[in-house]
Amino acid sequence: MYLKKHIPYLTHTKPSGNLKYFMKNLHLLYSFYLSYALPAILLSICCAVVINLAGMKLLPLVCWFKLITLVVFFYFINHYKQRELYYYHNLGLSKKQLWGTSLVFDSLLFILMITAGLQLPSLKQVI
Amino acid sequence: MMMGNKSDEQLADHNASGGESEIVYACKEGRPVKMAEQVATVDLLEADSIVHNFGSHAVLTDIYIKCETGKVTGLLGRNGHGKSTLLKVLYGTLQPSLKSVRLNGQPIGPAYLVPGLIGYLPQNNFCPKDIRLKQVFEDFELDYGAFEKTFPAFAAQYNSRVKNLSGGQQRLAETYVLLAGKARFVLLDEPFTHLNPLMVDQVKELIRETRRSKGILITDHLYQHVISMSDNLYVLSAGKLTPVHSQEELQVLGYTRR
Repeated sequence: MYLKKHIPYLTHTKPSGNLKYFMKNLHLLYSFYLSYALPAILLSICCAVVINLAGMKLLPLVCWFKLITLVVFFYFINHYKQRELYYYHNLGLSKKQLWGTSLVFDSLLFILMITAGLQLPSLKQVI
Repeated sequence: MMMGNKSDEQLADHNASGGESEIVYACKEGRPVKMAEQVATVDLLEADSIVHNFGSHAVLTDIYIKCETGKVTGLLGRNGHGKSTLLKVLYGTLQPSLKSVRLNGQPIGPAYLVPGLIGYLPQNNFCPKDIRLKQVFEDFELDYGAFEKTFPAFAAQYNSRVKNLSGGQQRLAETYVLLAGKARFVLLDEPFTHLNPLMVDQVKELIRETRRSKGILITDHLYQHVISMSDNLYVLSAGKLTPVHSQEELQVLGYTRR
């Protein structure tokens, strides 16, 4: 509040219009997600295929598997790509924002794929 | 655009909401001022009471540092004496056991989360390798043409991916986006790494130009360059930060040979 009141020009990085600001952050978050999107999406597809073939009984196992891989990605990027996080920090995004948003998005994608795996006809029949 | 006699609060809200145009206003004695006039506004970033340990080893214990807009502050110290740690504490990504970081006398939280306040060039290149230079300039809202004009060697690199640039080019581009960007304070951790002598001179020139509107804190082992540019100089040794006023003091503090 002090900063906003006494040093208002600090807000000048916020582009003219909240939508533009929001879109820019969304683009940056997407760019961050891309750093681990390929393996994450491939794993989600594999999980969906397993659920499609084996049914609901393997759901807890698949969910645990997905959770563990996300933890691995989290540690891998924080450890090996730590310096790249400064790119996003310099653009005003915190580690919490980066990870919070991208992990929620990836989890939603995972749920969507699992749901599709359950709804679609079994691959056994197709093959 | 007429702003009338709006209060500071109203102007702050006006800035935050984006207003009607790209022109950015600050407040000075109750009247709106344009960014061009902002140069005259001096901001002071200070830090003290910092205590940070790596295990049982105390890295930072007795620290007082100030960085002022319009000035270059130099920070020297031997390897492993905590220069980068201090910069990360100032930037806000490292939480020490104890710290007090203030902007114009008011305590602030992690500085990097305050929009437009601070930029940090870490020791290693920080731009993601797979993005294009074009994207970097768009993200930082900078004009590539101006950069190209200053550094003609980048004329053909607009669409190049960061990983395809040489180490020196990456460093130069990263230093440029931070210095030309909108942050009021810039922390440069070894900006001359990977740079050839010509590039070093160009970066020094860039720092001299941008110092008018920014507070710059620089640390590098090419200490002669740091000394030549600095208005204030500190040496970090055994966890203690000491202001230095002459080359002889560097010898006394054990940073250079007698």
